Amino acid sequence: MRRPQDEPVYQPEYSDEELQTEAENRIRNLMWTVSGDYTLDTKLEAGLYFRSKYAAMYDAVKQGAFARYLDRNAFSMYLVKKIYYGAEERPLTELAQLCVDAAVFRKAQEERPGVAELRDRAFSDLLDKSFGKMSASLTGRLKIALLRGYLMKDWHCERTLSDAVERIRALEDGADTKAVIEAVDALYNTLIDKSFVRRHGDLAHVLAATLEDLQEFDWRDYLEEESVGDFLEKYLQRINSRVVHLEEEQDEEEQQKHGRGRKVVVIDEESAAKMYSYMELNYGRSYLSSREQKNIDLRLCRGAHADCSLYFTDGILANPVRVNAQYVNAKRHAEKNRRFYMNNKNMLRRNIDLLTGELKRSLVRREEPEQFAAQTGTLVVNRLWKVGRTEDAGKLFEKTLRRNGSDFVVDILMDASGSQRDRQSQVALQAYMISEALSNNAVPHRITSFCSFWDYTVLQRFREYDAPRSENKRIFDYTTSSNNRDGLAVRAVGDSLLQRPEEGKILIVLSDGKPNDIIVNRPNSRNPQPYYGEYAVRDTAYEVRKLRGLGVCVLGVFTGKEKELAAEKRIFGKDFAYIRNIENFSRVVGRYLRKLLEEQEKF
Amino acid sequence: MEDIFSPFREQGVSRTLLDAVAEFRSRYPAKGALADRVTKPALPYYGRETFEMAAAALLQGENILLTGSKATGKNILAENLAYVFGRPSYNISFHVNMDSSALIGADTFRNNEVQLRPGPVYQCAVNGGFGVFDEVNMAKNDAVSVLHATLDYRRIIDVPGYDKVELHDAARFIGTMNYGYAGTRELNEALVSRFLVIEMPQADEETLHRILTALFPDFRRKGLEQICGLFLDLQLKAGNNEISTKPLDLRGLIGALKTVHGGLSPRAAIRMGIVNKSFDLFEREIVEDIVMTRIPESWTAAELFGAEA
Repeated sequence: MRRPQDEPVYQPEYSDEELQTEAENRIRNLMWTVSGDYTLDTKLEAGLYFRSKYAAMYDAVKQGAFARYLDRNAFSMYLVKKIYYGAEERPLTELAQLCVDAAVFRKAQEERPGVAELRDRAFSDLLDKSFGKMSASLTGRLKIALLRGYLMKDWHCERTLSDAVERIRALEDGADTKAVIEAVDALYNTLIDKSFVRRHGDLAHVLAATLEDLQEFDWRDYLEEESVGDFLEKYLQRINSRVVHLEEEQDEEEQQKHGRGRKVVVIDEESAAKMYSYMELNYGRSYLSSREQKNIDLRLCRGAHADCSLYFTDGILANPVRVNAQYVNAKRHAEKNRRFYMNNKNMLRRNIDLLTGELKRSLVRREEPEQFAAQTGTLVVNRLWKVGRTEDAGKLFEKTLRRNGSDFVVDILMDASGSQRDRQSQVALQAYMISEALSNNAVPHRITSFCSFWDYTVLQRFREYDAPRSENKRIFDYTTSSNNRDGLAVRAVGDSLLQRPEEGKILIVLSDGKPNDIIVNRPNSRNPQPYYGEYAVRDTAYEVRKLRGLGVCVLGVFTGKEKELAAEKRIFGKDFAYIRNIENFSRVVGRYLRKLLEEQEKF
Repeated sequence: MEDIFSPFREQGVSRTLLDAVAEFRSRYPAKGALADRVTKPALPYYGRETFEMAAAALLQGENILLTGSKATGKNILAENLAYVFGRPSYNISFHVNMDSSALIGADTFRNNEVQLRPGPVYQCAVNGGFGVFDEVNMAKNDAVSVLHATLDYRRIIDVPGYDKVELHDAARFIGTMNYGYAGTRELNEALVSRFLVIEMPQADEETLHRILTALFPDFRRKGLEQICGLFLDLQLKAGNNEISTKPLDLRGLIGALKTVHGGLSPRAAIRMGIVNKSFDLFEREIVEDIVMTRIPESWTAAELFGAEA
């Protein structure tokens, strides 16, 4: 008897994590709408959205307008230079926010008249909610003066600020980037640090700082997250997103204690050249030609996965380079998996029958043709006696309506990272059960496992969609190692799934933990961020949603630790199942497939 | 008589082409009951190059397939072509349960005998009409395969159990398809090879301006700009896969504008015509955000329509 908590849990209602992702998505889209540039990648703060929706939305509009009407890079470069010369970051960015707002608002409003209403709402919200916090600092009081001015057209304010207010309002008449920079600089030098020019030099001097100077500077103390790579670039990005952030900054000191770039391992050119042959030695030869491989990398390894590569293989056992330790090891694991299979054969047969039967019933119900009497169609001879004998012969024909004969295809993507090791035999067995049940019903399906090694994401294919049943057993070659870069794997598998002719496309992802990939990089290439934590979760969630947007039904099945449940829920959102015990995998999948099959309008 | 070619002449469509169409019209005049099937489209099609390609292909006896995403004017073009060529049009909407009898015809019992009740393709073929296969990729490939002989050089319909019918010289078929709708499938090669394929360009600002001012002559400039901008914003967002194509709905937009014309507030009208087309809560928010930046809540019908201030 199973304990109730072993039952798989479906999560139909929206979790906090999902709301968070959707809020991020919403404000990012607003920014894109206004800027018209969908490659813009500025981090917007979703947390603000839950404190003040309108303020967050206005920030997004402003960020978009900032990118559209001003030269973002020049402006943030100026800010970084100013900070390099010792300006205080917080008052400087706050002044910058006010100036940018003044400079872009009129233009944005001309193009989109609705912006004015949003701005009023955002401003009154801010006055309501953070008046106390704002009035504590000089820049805050300047902000209050401006917000009140815009809202109530009441421009009276303390005397020290009236010049500043005038100066900022002067930017409203179509100021360009240069004018905004000059205004920010002048305001900083008069309001915040009157001795700046004397000690560090004027605007021209600040702008003359070279990129080399900046790159040598240690920006790490200014960065809040664990960041790596080009610190200057990171810092520029951060400044960029700060420039529009109107709400008072939260205290960030505690966030700053995080460590430095410890996740990137840099290796030299020579080993990079050897990498590919290592991959062949470790994972077997690729089944793609090098040209196909290159094409796929070019198409899929973009954005968050730039500089990564995909490696498609049938596994080291199917296509080894030579007999090496990895081969022997893989063989040992495969034998272990097969032994496990032999020992459980009876149980297995029963479960496969069960699963097959369940699917078959749903399929039959779906495909059952409906016949009804009609005026046209196929003549039903034994109704013909009515002709001439009755007034109205009625319906002498029969029509057949096939309810929903559309076909579908299933793709199963399994995490093969090292953390699955102790249960790999069970995972293989469960996958085998699903595979057999689908084969029994002649449903095309593919099984792939993924793991990441160096900057390669290895996709090992166990069976192709239309492979004969005999291939099902190849799943017992399943072995695990290394990291997992879920976003890229989902993208790659989704890409080939979308090319299938079947209308109903289903992707099932078995995952046992958060995405985690340490990148080994070639020197001289831009180091992408290490793929883990929040960044990786967001990226994977984005890939999943993109596939859903294209009509693929994606189910996430999670078998890992409870503390990672939240992140996984965020990735998969609505179709998500948590199983504590891997033995439930096939049942959950069966249930999900049945649910899809019985939902008529889905396909 | 009204000059049916004038919208196309204005767009600079080649004279020789229009003359050839005029000649086609006089060679195959629509008579009697068929003349009722020649209907004037609600809007002229805007897009010189696309129109020229389509007309040239039809003049040479080819069938054409119009492909493109939503709101690119596939049906408007098809209607316009039938109208300028002066042929009766037969509109056949394809769906999953389509079978050959729905296209060609099926048995029925009339006058004490079993007779063929001709389907739309049969009628179109006999009467020399323009058959519009709407969403041709919604149907199963095997259902459409009965059309192969109809669409290629053989130009016949073989009705099982009856005679084979030859196509009228003026009969043409125009398929429309949209990739990306849920439930659409790839067309098989055999069918595609029987069409010349025209990819419909997406609506640009100028086309939208033209369409909307043709429908609403009293559209005010500022409102028109925002409405067109809204549509282009949606198009861009759908193109970037951030939203589905459900809210990208020109028909819905025009419907909404009509209600504004009747006095409804623009925000409320757009909500009916565009925002509510999407049934995903989060998508609706994103769409609503775009609307919010374009159309202030305070706007009334007077902001969109009326004499310029």
